[in-house]
Amino acid sequence: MALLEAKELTKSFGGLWAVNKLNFKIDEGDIVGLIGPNGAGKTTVFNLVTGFIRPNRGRVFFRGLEITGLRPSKIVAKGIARTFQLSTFFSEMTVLENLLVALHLQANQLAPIPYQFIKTQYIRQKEKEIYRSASDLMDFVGLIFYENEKAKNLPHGLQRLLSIAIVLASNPHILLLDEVTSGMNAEEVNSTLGLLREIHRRGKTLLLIEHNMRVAMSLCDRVIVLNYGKKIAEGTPEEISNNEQVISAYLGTGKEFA
Amino acid sequence: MQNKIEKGFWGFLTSIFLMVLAPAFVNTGYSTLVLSWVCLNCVMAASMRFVMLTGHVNFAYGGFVGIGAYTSALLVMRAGLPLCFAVLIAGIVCAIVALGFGLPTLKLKGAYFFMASFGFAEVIRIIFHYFFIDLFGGVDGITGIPYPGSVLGISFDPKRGWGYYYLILLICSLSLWVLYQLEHNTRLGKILMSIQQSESLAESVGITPMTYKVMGFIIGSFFAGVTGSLYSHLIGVIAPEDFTFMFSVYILMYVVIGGKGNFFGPPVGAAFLTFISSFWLKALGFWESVAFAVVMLITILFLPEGLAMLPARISSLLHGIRKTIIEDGENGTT
Amino acid sequence: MTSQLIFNGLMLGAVFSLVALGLVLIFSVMNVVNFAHGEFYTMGGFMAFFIFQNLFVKTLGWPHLFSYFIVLLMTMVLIGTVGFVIEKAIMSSFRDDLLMGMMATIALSIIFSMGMASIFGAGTVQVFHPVPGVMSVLGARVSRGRMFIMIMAVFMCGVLTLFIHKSRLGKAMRACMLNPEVAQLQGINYNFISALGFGIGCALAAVAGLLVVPSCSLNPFVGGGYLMKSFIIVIIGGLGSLPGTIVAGFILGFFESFGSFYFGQPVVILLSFVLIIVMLIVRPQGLMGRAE
Repeated sequence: MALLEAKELTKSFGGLWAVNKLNFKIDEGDIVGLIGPNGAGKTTVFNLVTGFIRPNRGRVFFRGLEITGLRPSKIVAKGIARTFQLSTFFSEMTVLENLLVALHLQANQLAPIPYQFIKTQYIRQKEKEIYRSASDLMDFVGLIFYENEKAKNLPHGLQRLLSIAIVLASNPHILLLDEVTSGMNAEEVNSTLGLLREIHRRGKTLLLIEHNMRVAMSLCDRVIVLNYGKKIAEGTPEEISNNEQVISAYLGTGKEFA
Repeated sequence: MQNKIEKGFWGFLTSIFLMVLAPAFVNTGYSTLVLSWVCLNCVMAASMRFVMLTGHVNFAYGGFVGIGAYTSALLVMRAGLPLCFAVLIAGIVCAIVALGFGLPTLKLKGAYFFMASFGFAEVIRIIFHYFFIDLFGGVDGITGIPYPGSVLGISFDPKRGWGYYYLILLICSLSLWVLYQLEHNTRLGKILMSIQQSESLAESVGITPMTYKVMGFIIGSFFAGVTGSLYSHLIGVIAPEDFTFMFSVYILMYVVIGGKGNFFGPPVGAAFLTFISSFWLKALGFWESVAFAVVMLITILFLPEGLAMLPARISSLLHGIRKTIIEDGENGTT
Repeated sequence: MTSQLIFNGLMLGAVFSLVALGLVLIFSVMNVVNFAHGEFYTMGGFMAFFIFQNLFVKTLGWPHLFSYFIVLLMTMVLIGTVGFVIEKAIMSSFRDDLLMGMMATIALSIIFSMGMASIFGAGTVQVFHPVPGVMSVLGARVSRGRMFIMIMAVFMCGVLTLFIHKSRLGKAMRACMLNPEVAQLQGINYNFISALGFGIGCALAAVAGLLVVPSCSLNPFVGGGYLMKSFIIVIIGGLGSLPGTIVAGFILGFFESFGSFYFGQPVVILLSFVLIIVMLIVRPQGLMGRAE
C-alpha cells in the first residue's frame, strides 16, 4: 500500500487548469522530486494534498485512507507535513518560540490549552519536555546558537534551516518540501542535502519541489515532471534528463541541467 | 526586546504607585472620577487589543461593554446581588454572547468581520432601545444604579469617592496583569501571535485557528463586561446610546494612538487621551470628537507605531544626531 | 397597498444598490472598507439642499428640473474630485493595511459629519422635489418623484456598469480589482486608478443622497444608516461582485419596504442582521462572490 497516493487530482482556477488529472504514488522510504517549469502547478499539488485547497475532482489517500478535503490541521496530525515557499517561519518570534509553537501537536497531547492555565507541577514537567524537543530540533538542524534570535533577523540560509526544523516538529511520516534550497549558495545547498539525507535515513519519506536540478537529481530516487498541471514524465533522474518532452518543456526558460 | 518589556513593567508599577497616591493630591470628586475613567479605559483598550491579536477588530466592543453594564445594573438592582458577583457574572455573560457572535463570524476575512461587528453593535443598541422595555428601560435606560455602599465590610463614602476608586484600581490592575500574562507567558498568547503572523503556517503545524481566535475573542469580551459593570455603578445612569459603535471607535483610537504593536501602547494611549480630554478637551464640547479624529489621522499617517513608541523613536533620533555630530567632529566638518 | 410596497421596494433597491456599488468599488480596487461612505451620501444630500434648493431655485429662480440636473453633474464632479484628492493625500498610505485604512476613513467620517453639522446645523432640513405630483402605474398611485428617483438610480447603475465593462478606464479598473501587480506590469497606473476608483465610489454615494433627499428629510447624521445598509448588501451579495451587489441591493430594498410596513424599522434592522449571520454561516462568499 502506498504511503501517499493521488488519483485523478484536478484543480481549476476560473477556467485555468492548475492541476489536471494527476496520478501519483509515493511509497514509504521514497525520496521523490516534483519538478517542472514555473506555473506547472507544483505548489498547487502540495496545497491540494495538505488540505489548503479543495480539488475539483480526484482524491488523495494516505495509507489507504482518504484524506481529500480534510482541514490542514487534521492532515498534519495524520503525519503529512509541508513547508511553504513564502512565510516559512514566524518572523517576529525567536527561533525557540517558533519551535515551541511548531511543536503544537506534541504540546496538545501533553496538555491541552485550558489545563495550561493551572500551573501545576504536572504542567511544568510537560513544558520542560516541550522545551527539550525544541532543543533537539534546533540541535539537529544546527540552530542551537540562535535560540533567542528573532527569525526575521537570521540570514537566509539559516531561515531555511528553521523551516526544516518547523516541518520536523510535528513528527511526520512524510515531508513535503517546497523549494527548500531556494536562495541558498552552493555550500548551504550541500549541507542541506546532507541534512535531508539524514532525515531520510531516520525513516522519513520526502517529496520535494525543486528548481535546483542538482538537488533534485542527486537526492531523489524518482522524479515526477509536471507541465501545465499534467504529468509529462516520471522516472529515475537519468531517464528524466534524457526525456525529450521534459527537455522541450524546459527549453526557453533558460534552466540548465545538472 | 526583553529590555523594553522590563521597562514597560517598571513603568506599569510606577504608574500604579502614582495612581494609588493620586487621590491624596487631587481631592475633587471630578478628579477621582477621571482617575476611575483612566483605569477603566486602560483595561478596555488593552482587552480590545487582545482581541486584535486574533487579527480581528471588534466594532461591537462598545455593545459588549453595554451588555456588562446592563447585566450588572439589573443583577444588583433587581436581584440584590453584591457587587463582586455582579461584576464577575457581567463578564461571563459577555463572554457567552461573544461565543455566540464569534463562532459564525470569526472565520471570516477581515473586512467581513468588521462589517458584521458593526452590524452587531447596532443590533445590541436596538435591543436595549426597543425591546424588553420593562427590563432595560427603553431609550432612557436604567437610572439610579446604586453606588457601591460597601465591599467586604469596607464601606465606601460616596461623597469622596475614594473607596470605589481603589476597588476599580485594584480590579483594573489585576485585569491588566492577567491580560499581560495571557499574551506573553502562555501558549495561547504565542499561538495567537503565530496565527497573526502566518495563519497558513500555523495551520501547517496542526493549529486550528478558529479554536484560538474564539478563545481570544471570549477573553477580550469578558473584560469588556467587567469594565462595563464597573462603569455602570460609577456613573449611575446607562442608556442604549452610550454603547454604540462610536464607543468602540474611541477605544480603538486609544489603541491606535497609543500603539497597537505593544501591550503597553493601548493603556498609555488610553491614560494620556483620557487625561487630556477630561481636563482640556471638554471645553471644546461639540468639537471633542473631531479633535480626536484629527489626532488619530495625524498619528496613523505620521507615527504609525503610536505614542508608546515615541520615546524609542526620539531616543534613536537623538542617537543618530549624536552619532552624526561625533563623526563630523572626527572627520572635520565639511 | 401591496403594489405601493413593491414599487417602494424597487425604488429603495435601486438607491441601496447605487450606494453599495460605490462601497464595493472602493473595496475592490484599493482594499479599503470606506467607513466614511455614508458621509458622502449625506454630502450629496446637502448639495441638494444648499445648491439646488437655496442657490438655483430660491436665489436664481431657475426652473427646477434643469437646475436639478446641473446640480447632479456638479455633485458628481465635485464629490468625485474630493474623493480623488482624499485618496491621494491620505488613503494611498494605507493601501496594504486594511485596519489603518479603515481607521482613517472612520476619522474622516467623524470630521465630515461634525463638519457638516457645524455648517448646516444639526437639525433636520427638508428639500422639495424637482418632480412633484403623483402618477398612476399599473393601477397604483405612486409619487412621480419616487418614480424619478428609481429611474435615475437604475440609470446611474447602468452607466457605472457600462463604464466598468466597456470603457478603457473601466477595464483598467477591473484589472486592478483582480490583480494590481499584474495590472501595473501591463502599464496601468495603479495610483491613478485607485484615486479614480475612490472618487467614483464617493460620487455614487453622493448622487444617491442627492436623489433621495428631496423625498425624505436630511440631517448630518443620516450617513450611518446607509453605511450599515451597504454593509448588509455587500455581505449578502459578495464583496468582489458588482452584479451580486445589485441583486442584494434589491433584495434589501424589498425587505425594507415590506418589513418597515409590517414590523417597523427596529425589527427590520434586527432581521437584516439575522439574515446576514445566516448568510455568513451558509454561504460566506455571498450570493455571487468568488469562493476562496
